[in-house]
Amino acid sequence: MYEQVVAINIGLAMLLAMSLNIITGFAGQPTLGHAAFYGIGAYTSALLTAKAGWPFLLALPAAGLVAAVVGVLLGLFSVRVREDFLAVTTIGINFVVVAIFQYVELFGASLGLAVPKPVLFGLRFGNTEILILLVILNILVYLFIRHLPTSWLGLALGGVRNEEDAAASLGVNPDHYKVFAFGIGTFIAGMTGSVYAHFMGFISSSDFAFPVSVGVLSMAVLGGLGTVSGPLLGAVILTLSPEVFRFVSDYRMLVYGGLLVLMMRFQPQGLIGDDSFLRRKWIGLFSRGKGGE
Amino acid sequence: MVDSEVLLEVRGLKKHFGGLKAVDGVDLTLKRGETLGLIGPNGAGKTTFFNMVCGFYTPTEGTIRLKGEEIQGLPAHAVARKGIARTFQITKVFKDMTVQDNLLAAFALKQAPTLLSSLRRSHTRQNLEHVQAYLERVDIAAFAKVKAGDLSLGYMRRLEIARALALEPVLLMLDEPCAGLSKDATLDFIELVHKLRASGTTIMLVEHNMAVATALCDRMTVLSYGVKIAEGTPQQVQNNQAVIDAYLGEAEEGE
Amino acid sequence: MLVQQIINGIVVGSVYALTAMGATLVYGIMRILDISNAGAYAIGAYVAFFFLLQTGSPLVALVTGVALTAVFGFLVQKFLYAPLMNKSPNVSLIAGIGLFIFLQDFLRLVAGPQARELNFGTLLPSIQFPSLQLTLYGTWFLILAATALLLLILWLLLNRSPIGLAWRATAQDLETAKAMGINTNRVVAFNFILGYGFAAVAGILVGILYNSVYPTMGDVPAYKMLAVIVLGGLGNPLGTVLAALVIGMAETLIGGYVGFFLPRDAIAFVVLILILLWRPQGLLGRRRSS
Repeated sequence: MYEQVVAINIGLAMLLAMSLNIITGFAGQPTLGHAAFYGIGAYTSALLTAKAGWPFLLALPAAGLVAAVVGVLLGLFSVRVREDFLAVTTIGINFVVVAIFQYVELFGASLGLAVPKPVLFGLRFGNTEILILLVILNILVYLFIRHLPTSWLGLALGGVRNEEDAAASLGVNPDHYKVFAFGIGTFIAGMTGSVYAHFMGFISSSDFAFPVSVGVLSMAVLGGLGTVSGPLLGAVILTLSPEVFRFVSDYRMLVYGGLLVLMMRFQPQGLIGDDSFLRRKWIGLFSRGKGGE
Repeated sequence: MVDSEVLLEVRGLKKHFGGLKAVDGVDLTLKRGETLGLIGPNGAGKTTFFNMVCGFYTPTEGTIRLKGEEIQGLPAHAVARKGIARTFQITKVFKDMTVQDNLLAAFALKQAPTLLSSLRRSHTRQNLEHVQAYLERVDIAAFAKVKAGDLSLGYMRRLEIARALALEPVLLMLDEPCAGLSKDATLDFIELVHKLRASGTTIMLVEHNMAVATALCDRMTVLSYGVKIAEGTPQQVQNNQAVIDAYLGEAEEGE
Repeated sequence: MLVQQIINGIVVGSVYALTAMGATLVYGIMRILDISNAGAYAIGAYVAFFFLLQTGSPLVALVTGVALTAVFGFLVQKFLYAPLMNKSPNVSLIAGIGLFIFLQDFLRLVAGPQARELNFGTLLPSIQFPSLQLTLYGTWFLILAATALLLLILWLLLNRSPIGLAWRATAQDLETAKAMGINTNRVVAFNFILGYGFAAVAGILVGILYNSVYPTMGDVPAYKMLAVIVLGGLGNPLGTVLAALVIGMAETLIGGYVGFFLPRDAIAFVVLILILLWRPQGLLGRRRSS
C-alpha cells in the first residue's frame, strides 16, 4: 500500500532526525555524516541475518551496537579536534564508509546486498509489521528525548554545548559527555538502518551517501535543533514534500536547496525553535493577555 | 603533620609558555575561612596562577595541595570534584538555558557523578526548591525562568557565583569578579562577598582594582612579572614600596 | 612511469590548491566553511562555456567567467553570509550547503544534465619522451603556470597591498580590526570577490583539462576542498597549497601506482583522518590554546 510505504519512510526519517538531534542539537557537536551510521546498521543487520543466520530481533540491537562502537570512536576523535574540523571529518567518514560498502566484496560491492524479510514467531514481516515496529521505536526514542531537558544528562550536554570550560568547572567531564552523546545517537541511527534494510529487502551503498546525511540534518534544522519535537516536524515535512509536490518533481532539489538557504537566512532556530514564527503565533493564540516585559 | 587550618598550599609554582615565564616560582598559603586577594598589574601572571589552581593549565613545575592532597595537573573537572569552584573573568553562563537550569547543572556534581546516573531526572521538586534558595541568596530568584543569555552582565556574574556556590565548594575562586561592572553593581557585589565571608566561605579572588581588593580581602598576595613581590594585610601591602613601584610603572606605561 | 605519476600528482595538487584557495580565504576572515564556493567553481566554468559558444574567444570566455563569478561572490556575502556572521557556524555551513544544492540544480535546469565540451583549442602542444614513457601535456603546463601566477598575485595582494594588510588584520581578529578603524565590511566583500574569482579560475581550468563541463562537476571538489583546507590548518593559504599537493600526490601515487582497495576520491579523506589523528591542528595549524 502506498500510504504504508510513505508512513514507513516518515517513521525512519523521524528516528534519524531525533538521533541526530541528540548529537548536534543537545550536545552541540556538528555531524554531517549521520548516514554512515545508518548504513553501518543496515549492512550489519543484513550480513548477520543473511550470512550468519541470526534472527532479526537479535540483529536489530546488534546493528545499533556496531554503529555505536564506530560512533564512540568518532566521538573520541571529536574531542581531539576543533569543531570546524569535526564537521569536515564527519563528511569524510561518510564518504569513506560508502566507498567501503561499494568496493569491498563482503558488502556486496556494487551489486548491493539482498536482505531477508524478518520472521518473528512464525509471522513473516510485511509492511504492516515494520510500521508497528517503527511506531514502537519512535515512541521509545521520543520519550527518551522528552526526558532529556529535565535530566542530569540534558543539563550536562547543555553545559558542554554552551561553554565547555564552565561545564568542566562544575565537575562535568566534557569529553565523556560528548562521546556518550555520539554513542546514543549513532546507536539509534544503527537500529534505524537495520529496520530500513529489512523493509527494503535490498540495500546498496548509495542509500547511505552524503546527500542522505544532509537530508537528515536539514530535517532537524528545519524543525529546530535542540528542541524536543522540532526534528519530528522537519522529518514529516521533508519526507512528505516530494510526495505532495510530485508535479514539480523536476525542481525538487532546486526547491530543497532554496528552502535550506531561506530557512537559515530568516529562521535559523527552526520552525519551532525559540522565538520562531510558529512559536510566536502559538504563544499568541494560547496565552492571551500576557504582555511582554 | 598537616595543619588543619591550612586549606590550600602552593609551593614553587611555575608556568612557562615557550620562553615566557608567566608564573615563575610562586608560594602561597590559604587558611580556612580566609579571603585572599591575588593582585598585581596587568600581565603579572594572576590569571595564569589562578587557572593552574583550577586545573585549566598544567603547571610547568611546583605543587598545589588542597587539604594536604596534591592536585596539580588534574583536569578542571577533577579539580572541581575535589571541592574548588570558580567563576570566569568573562562570564560563562550557559546562555541558551534558563537561569534555573544553569544552577541546577551544578547539583549534578553530587547527585549524578557517573554517566549512567546522569540518565536520572534532575528537575525534582526538592532540587527546584534548592535552586530557588541559591538564587535568593544572590537576589536573582525572580529571573529563574529567564534565559541566562538575556541577563545583564551584573546578573550573569551573580548567577555564576550562585552556580559555583551550589557546588558546595571548600574553596571559591573568583576571577576579576568586578571587571566591567557599573559602580552600583560593584558595591552590590562587595556586599555579597561580605555575606559569603560571614558565612565562613574560603575565597581567593583575582582583582586588578586595588580599591575593590582592599574592601574585600583579609590578606593580599601581590604578583608582578610572574613572581610574588609582597604579601600581607591590605594596609601592609598598600604601604609596600615594591607594590607602589609596580603599580606606578604600569600607570606610566599606560599613558 | 613514476616521473609521469609525480608530475601528474603535482598538477592534480595544483588544481586542488586553486579550488580550495577561495574557501580558505573565506574561512580566514569569516570562520565559516563555505561549501557554495564549489558552486562558484561550476558557475565559472559554465559562464566561460557560454561565452566561448557565443564569441568563440577563449580570452573573453575566461575574463567573463571569472568576473561574473566574482560579482556573484560579492552578492552571496552581502545577502547571505554577512547577515549570518553572528550566528552559530552550523547555520552558515547549512546555508552554504543549501546554496550549493540550489546552484547545481539551477545549472542542470538551465543548461541540461549532460556534459558539454569546453574546447579552448590547443593552447600549448604536448611533449613526448617515448624513451622515458613520459608525456607532458600542454594543459599541464597551463595549469601549473596559472597556479603559480595566481598564487604569486595572491601573495602580493595579501602581503604588499593596503587591502592585504587590512585582510591580515581582519583575519587575526575581526572585532579588534573593526575597533582599529579598518573597514571590515570592505575586507569581507573583497575576500568573497577574490575567493569566488579563484573558484571560477579553478573550474575553468578543470573544464579545459578534461574538456567538459557538467552541472555536478562541483560535487567532488566541494567536499574534497574541505579536506584540503582542514588539512592545511584552516584559513592558512600556504597550508592549503601544501595540503593540496599532499592530497594530489597521495591520490595519484596510491591510486595509480601502488593500488588501493578504495576509490580515488575516498583517499583524500583517509589521508585527512590519519593526519588529524597525528596532528589534530592540521599540517600548519597552530595548536589551540585552552
